[in-house]
Amino acid sequence: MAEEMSWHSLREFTREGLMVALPLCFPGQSEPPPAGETAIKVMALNGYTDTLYMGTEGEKAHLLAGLIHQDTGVVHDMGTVPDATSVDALSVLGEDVRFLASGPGGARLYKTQRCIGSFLIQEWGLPRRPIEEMAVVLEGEGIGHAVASADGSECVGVSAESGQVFRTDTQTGETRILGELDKRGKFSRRLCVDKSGRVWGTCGNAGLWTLAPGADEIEKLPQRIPCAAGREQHTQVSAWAVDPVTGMVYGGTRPDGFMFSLDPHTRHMVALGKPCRQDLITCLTVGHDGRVFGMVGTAEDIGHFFCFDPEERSLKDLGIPVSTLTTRQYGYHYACAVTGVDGEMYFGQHERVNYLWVYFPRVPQRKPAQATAE
Amino acid sequence: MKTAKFYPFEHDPKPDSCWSLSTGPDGRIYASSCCEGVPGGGVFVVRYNDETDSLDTLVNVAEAVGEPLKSGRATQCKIHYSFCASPATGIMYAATHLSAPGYGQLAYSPWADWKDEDQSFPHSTLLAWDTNKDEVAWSSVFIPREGCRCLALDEERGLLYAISYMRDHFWIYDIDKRSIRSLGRLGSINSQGIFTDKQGRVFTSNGDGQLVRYSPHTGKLEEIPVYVPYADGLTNWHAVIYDVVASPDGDCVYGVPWTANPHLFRYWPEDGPYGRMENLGPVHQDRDRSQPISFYLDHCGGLVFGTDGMLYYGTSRWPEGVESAFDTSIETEGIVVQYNPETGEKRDFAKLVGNPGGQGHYVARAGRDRFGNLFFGQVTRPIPAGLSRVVMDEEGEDLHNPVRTWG
Repeated sequence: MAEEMSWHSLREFTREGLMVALPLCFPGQSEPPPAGETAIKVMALNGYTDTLYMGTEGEKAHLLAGLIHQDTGVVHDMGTVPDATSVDALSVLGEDVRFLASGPGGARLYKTQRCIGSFLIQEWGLPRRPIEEMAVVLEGEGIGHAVASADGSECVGVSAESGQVFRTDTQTGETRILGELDKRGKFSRRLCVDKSGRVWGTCGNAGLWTLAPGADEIEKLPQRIPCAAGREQHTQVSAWAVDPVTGMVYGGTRPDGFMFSLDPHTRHMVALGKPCRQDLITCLTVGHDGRVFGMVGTAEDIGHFFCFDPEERSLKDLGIPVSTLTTRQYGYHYACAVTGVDGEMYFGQHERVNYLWVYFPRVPQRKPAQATAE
Repeated sequence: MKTAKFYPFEHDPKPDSCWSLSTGPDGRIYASSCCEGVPGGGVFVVRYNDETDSLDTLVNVAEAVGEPLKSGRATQCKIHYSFCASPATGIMYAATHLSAPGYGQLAYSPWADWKDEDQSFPHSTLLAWDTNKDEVAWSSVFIPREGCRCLALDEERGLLYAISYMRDHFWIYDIDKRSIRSLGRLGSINSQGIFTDKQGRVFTSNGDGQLVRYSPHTGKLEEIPVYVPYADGLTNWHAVIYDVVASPDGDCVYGVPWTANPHLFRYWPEDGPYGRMENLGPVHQDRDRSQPISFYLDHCGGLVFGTDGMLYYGTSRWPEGVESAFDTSIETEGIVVQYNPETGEKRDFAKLVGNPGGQGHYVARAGRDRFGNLFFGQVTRPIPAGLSRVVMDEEGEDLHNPVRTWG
């Protein structure tokens, strides 16, 4: 007799902790930006005000503000960015919000006022402030990615096509080209800035490059980032994260989806393995307990969520992101991640229709007290 | 289109809002001159004097109930939707609400200051104004530690029904016994309206816009499967009742919600086991739905029937594209709309004043006096609050009946 089949969970979804998908709007009171305009490319947190800023890419680019603490729980569309189809870098620590965004005509520096909200259960007011164009950053070419310095005074970025590294003053918009990475387009479109302010990226055949704080020349290093044998010519970093306590830098690669650590002082790299069978690590963030969480999977995949534990030196597949609290959604593809002030983690979905995903990691149970020797 | 005449409140400190306006049992118009954001501010009850065409101040509530405005505690600063006329006794009931900081305080949070001995709101107060003798008949502690958002009277049973803020409880007050009891919590967003039907049943809504019904016959408070209508693209969350007025025959009520893109609705409480709700469509212009709109801007209230059988209500108009947050520099317009219940036709009937430079478009409540004229209570921030009168050119007296018995 054939065994009876039944549908039941294989524990294929978020296996640890809790994911909540927030719609990109004021739930019940506003509508999200149109589909095709909400793929979240970059995120940055103002830890003082608890506001998470997000930049989207698509037919139009939007600047969004996410507020989940206190009596908030909304994502506010701060507006479409004039002449832009992609927000590439955010500097959110000052009195205002400055950001770089690209469009068909090139890349520009913009500014707007920051978003602070409270009392959003009743009698709210969430103003939409003007977004002003400040300066041209790149003429005729967009930005692949850029990162803001710790004090927000400057951004270092890489152009999308030509691989030029540039530095932009976020107050004046003054931009200097510092060098070119690779004429063949072999360079990472994701950069990171480490705890000391040094910028990291990759180019060529899985080669590492760096830019010291204040330096005007990029330094191409002899080290290659970990990858499968013979895959160097295809491999670049696709995601970075920095441990704010230890200073350790973590990287994830495309196209194969391997993970590694980089000690920025010794420049020693360690291959950490491949978290899932899916390719392309899209984003990483370091939790308050030192574990590294990330997403893996291309835009054509059903992606997975994973975790690296540096104490155990283990990689764990945490399953397919799913949200069932209030919003009932699967999440398949992401592009950026940030850890919040209370240890919650934000993941920016990057599909045609998108949500802000908030992950609440598991709090480990205490171990039973050790018997004390008499 | 007519133009309403504005009557500012002239008290010290300057009132910032008029949250309640009702027809009294004597057919005259009573309003609350409120100081909701003024530290140490108090509420006065005023009445329109149809002989002098001006406002008379009847009572300083804080003084009347012996609660000093300079105590430092949150004050008896306003009467929200809580006037109830009792035609049988000539009493005008009024219950107070909270929000003004105590004297000398910069701010007040009813949550943070809960049970704070120095700053908290002690209680809502119930005031009974005798319109025959023109004096306070009596007053009483009403809801402990909370404000009274809205109030309804069951004259036959001698009961007052109230909803408290912030805990959003449903309360029943026995007028003879001067005792109050809570039937428990409704939700998190206060309904701004509570009304009764011909059977004496009481209706309000929870924070999800679902109607909640209390029956004095069974003593049961229950959520019923009827929802306040809301606009496409929004949800029922926060679609709480804002203002409700009975049709002249009392068979149904007309109302608007306290939410974005408010729709006029008509509810027949005695049609079927749960009544019948009709969505009569939006009352305002459309807006940019990519951002939340402030209800200080997108606001409809002050529903009142004229003696002509037409429904009148206050609406707001604003320049396209300014929706994101209310700002008193926005050049809003307050328009009284006339709605024909038979045909559904609408037309602009009267223009309210108080603008530019104020929130004059914001009508809280409305009433019809004994000569058939219409009155609209306005918030009008930042200029001193007041009310507006629309002359209806009716003939005769005692044109105020039937009197509304909820706030």
